[in-house]
This record gives sequence, structure tokens and C-alpha cells, in this order.
Amino acid sequence: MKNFPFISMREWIDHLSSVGLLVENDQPVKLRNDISALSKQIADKGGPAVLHTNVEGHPGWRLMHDGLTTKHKQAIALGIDEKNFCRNLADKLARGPRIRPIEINNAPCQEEVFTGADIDLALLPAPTTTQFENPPYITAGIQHLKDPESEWVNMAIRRFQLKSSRSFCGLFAPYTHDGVIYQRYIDQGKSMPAAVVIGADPVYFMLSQLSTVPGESEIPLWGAITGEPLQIVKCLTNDLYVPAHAEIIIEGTIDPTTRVFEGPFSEFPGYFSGCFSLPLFNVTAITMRSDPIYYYLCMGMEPGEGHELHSMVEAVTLSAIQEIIPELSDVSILSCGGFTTAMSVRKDRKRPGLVRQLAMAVKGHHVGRLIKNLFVCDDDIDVHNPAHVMWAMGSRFQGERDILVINDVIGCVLDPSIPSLGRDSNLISCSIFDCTEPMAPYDEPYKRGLALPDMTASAKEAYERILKK
Amino acid sequence: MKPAVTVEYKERMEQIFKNRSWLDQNIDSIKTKYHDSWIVVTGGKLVAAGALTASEAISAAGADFDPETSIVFQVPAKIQFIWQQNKPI
Repeated sequence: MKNFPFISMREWIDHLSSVGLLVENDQPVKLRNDISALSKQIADKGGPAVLHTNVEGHPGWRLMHDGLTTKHKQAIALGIDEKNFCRNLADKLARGPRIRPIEINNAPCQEEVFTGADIDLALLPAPTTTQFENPPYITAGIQHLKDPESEWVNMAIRRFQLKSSRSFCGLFAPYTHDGVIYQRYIDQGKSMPAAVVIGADPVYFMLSQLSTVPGESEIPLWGAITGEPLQIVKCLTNDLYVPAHAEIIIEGTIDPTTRVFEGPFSEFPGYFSGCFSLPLFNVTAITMRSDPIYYYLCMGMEPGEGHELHSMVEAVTLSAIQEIIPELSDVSILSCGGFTTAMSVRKDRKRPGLVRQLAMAVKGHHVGRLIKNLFVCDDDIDVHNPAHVMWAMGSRFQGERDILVINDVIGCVLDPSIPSLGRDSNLISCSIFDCTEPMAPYDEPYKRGLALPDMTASAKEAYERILKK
Repeated sequence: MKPAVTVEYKERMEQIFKNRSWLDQNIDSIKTKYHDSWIVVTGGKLVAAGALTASEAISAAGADFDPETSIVFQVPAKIQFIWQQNKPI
């Protein structure tokens, strides 16, 4: 059994199977509705990763989903202790060595090559997510773009609506790193080379959730987590580099002027997005392993794998904001991919104005872009437990003094609660809820501490005895 | 076995692409006439329009509705976001 680190998705599959966290399904499965509905049930009720071996219309293919739907699976994939997950991951990202990738030849992801007239996106067994989704979307594709003016390569998971057998379009907004890079190609009037990776190893897949500092690539962080260099290979029809052990690579170009009508799609805030006019990705090659495994990510109303993957964002947010506010002790994305987030600050280091300073730091930093509702608690609250956060709000919060609203700050184009066009597009109100214990002279009711019984050794013994009966 | 796609699935996708392409190319006029209603596109043409719900549109399409290849679409009043040719909004 292969253990951490897992350099490919199939090493990950083998490990999950060996520890009882993956099930193989050899019964026929349809791409319309069956797989997405199964994935939703797994997320709602708990369940294993699934590897389908009998996929409608696609002999020779396998399809996997829910490989990282729980923190337990993610902790295994990242080689960290699940307890204090966020802090452990933040430490690993901060202290791990930045190891340059190494280029290899004869990469598994190029065992089969489709170019020219052989390119056909119908070859990919892309499931639909909702009832009327047509054409289907690629939902777990990691887009790679390289800045024309530097060595900066940005990778990010995006949604891609298939448009023809040789083209698709992806949603990325101008204020994202993809958008910044694309704008430089538009300014130069040049087509932008691009690659989409499907079926990367679990660490690479999770890194695609990150938003690093502009100009900094996510790829060296693979070495920080695994302790090894990532093996990469150059694309066949452009100069981008992709993980050599991935399942499928789609290479192509995005020209600066063509725009295509796209959408709607079931997005992470839980509603369908609107429709967009987006750049078009023209495929120049599809390469893959000789027995490829397609990876599907079910997006839409949470819970879902796409939402659980934001644990990587929690760790990066903790790490980034702690540099400005060292009193920050934990970060938890509670819902909507970050729209509602809870943070805790060290009770032993509290000072007047700390919560407001934290709010300013979060919204002034790129990691805080998606945060719309921020609950700030003391560190005696487990911010990963929504009930604890709500208890803190119930016992330590007064609306008259403890709400701060910052208007007209950048949010997310997919937030269904904001105006979708015009001047206010993408601008939100960020609300900060101070759920920390008030400081003196208002702390009289809190001086005696929490009302809890003393957990004596005899009480613990009695509890164990009762459980055994 | 090498990865493959069946002829039947390939033809199905070609129909879907044809229907979606018709919608993409005609979206401006579709928005003007049928915004906030449901339409059905089959065989590269509009076969039902102006319905209040998806079910109504499918009923109106009758035998022209194909559950695998038809585009059943709720027409927006506006396009939410547009990448400009020369600069983003």
C-alpha cells in the first residue's frame, strides 16, 4: 500500500481503497444526473470516494468523485494530523521547503495523444450536475496560465462549459489572477496559451484552491507539503508545464477577442449563476493516460466536495493574516466558500480595537476577498463548530456595539445577493460580528468564567462504566 | 482497453453542441423577446418559447423535446458579466 505522499490520483485511489474509504461501482452509470445525485448523497449523508468502472458511452474509461470530501481524507492526502487541521496545514505551508519541480520525459499523462482532426471533447465522460445542464461542464479542471511578462504561472480550478468538440469556455473574472494574466495578453493583442489538467494527485488538486500573492505560483508549494519535487512535463502544443502523473491534459489557446455566451451553472453559493459572455478556449491537443480516470467535482448547494476543499484556503488565510495580526489563532470557512467565515483571536492577548484591526486586515488582503460575513470569537471557541460560534454570538454579542459594516468592497461575481450589473457589480458589504467577550469595564458577568461542572477523575470513570453497560 | 467514446454518445453530443450553438448565436434576440421565460431548442431551432416553467416549455415542445439533447433554458433578462474586448468591466 502506498502511503503519503501520493504522486498521482491512482496512488491516492489505491490508498483509499486499501483503508476502506473508496468503493468501486461496476454497474452502468449515466452521465446525466446519476453521478451528481450520488455525489450529493455522499456529501449529505457521508460516504466513501467512488470509482465507476462502467461509464455510459465511454468504454475503457473510469470515473471518480468524492476523493477529498472530508477533512479525514484530506488530512491523509496532506500528511498532517487531522486535529488542529488548519494550523497544521498552515505550518506546513509556511515552513515546508519550496522545491523546484523536475521535468521528466515519457510522462504518463501523454501516453495517448489526440491532435488535429482527432480532437473531440465528447471523448471525456463529463457528467452533468443539474437537470437541464446542456452541454455538460468540466468541473474539476485546473486551468494553467503563464504571465507573458514573467515566469509566473497561475493555476486555479474553474468551471468549463463545453461548446463544441474542439472548444469550451471558462469563467474567470478580471480581478482574479487568471484575469490579470489574460488582460496582459489582451493588451498585447496576443492569444494566450493555456492548459487544463483533470485528475491530478490530491495535493496538487487542493493547491488549485489557493490564492497566493500575485506573481507567486502555487506549484512550488507542492514540495512544501510532500517534501519531494513535483514531476512535470511540457505540453506538446505550447510551453506550459503540467503534472506528469495527471490523468488528462487539455492544451489550447484563448484568443484576446472572441467571446461566447455561457451559463447558467450550479455554483458554490448554492444557487445557479447567471449567464456570462466569456473568452473561448480552442483546443490544440488532448493527452491522457492509456487507461484514464476522469475526475468529477459536484458543485452547487453545500455540503459538497467543492466546499470541503476550502480547508486549504483556511490555512493560507490563517498564515497570511497572522503576519499582520499575530493574535489570530484559527480560521474556519463556515459556508458559501468563504462568504461566511469565523476567526478566533487569543484571549490572553486581547486589546482594544483588535477586532476592528483584524477586520481591516482581512478585507485589505487578497485572501479575504470572498469574506462577506465575518464572526470573530475568542480562542475558547471552536470556530470549526458552527454551534459554538452561534453560542458565542448568543452570549457575547450585542448588535448595538458589536457590528461593523464595511461597504463597497470587492466580493465575488457569483454572490447571488448582490446587484449583478453596473457600478455595484462585484461590490459587497462586509459585516463583522464581534463575538468576543467584552473587555473591562464591561466584563463583570464573565469574570467567574464558564458555568461547567468540574470534570473529576471519578466522574470520568463513572461515564466509562455507564457506556460499557 | 484504450479510452473511447461510442458513436451513439458522440452523435448525441454533436446534437447538443448544435442546439447550444444556435442559442449562443441568437441570444440577443432571444433575450429581447423571451426574457424571464423558458424555451426549448431542438435540432438547432426554437421549438417552444415563452413558458413560465420548464415543465410548460417541455409540454409545449411535445414530440420535439429530446431529454438527452434538447436545451431547456430559462432566458435571462441581462447577461450578468461580460469580458470586454479591450478592457474588463
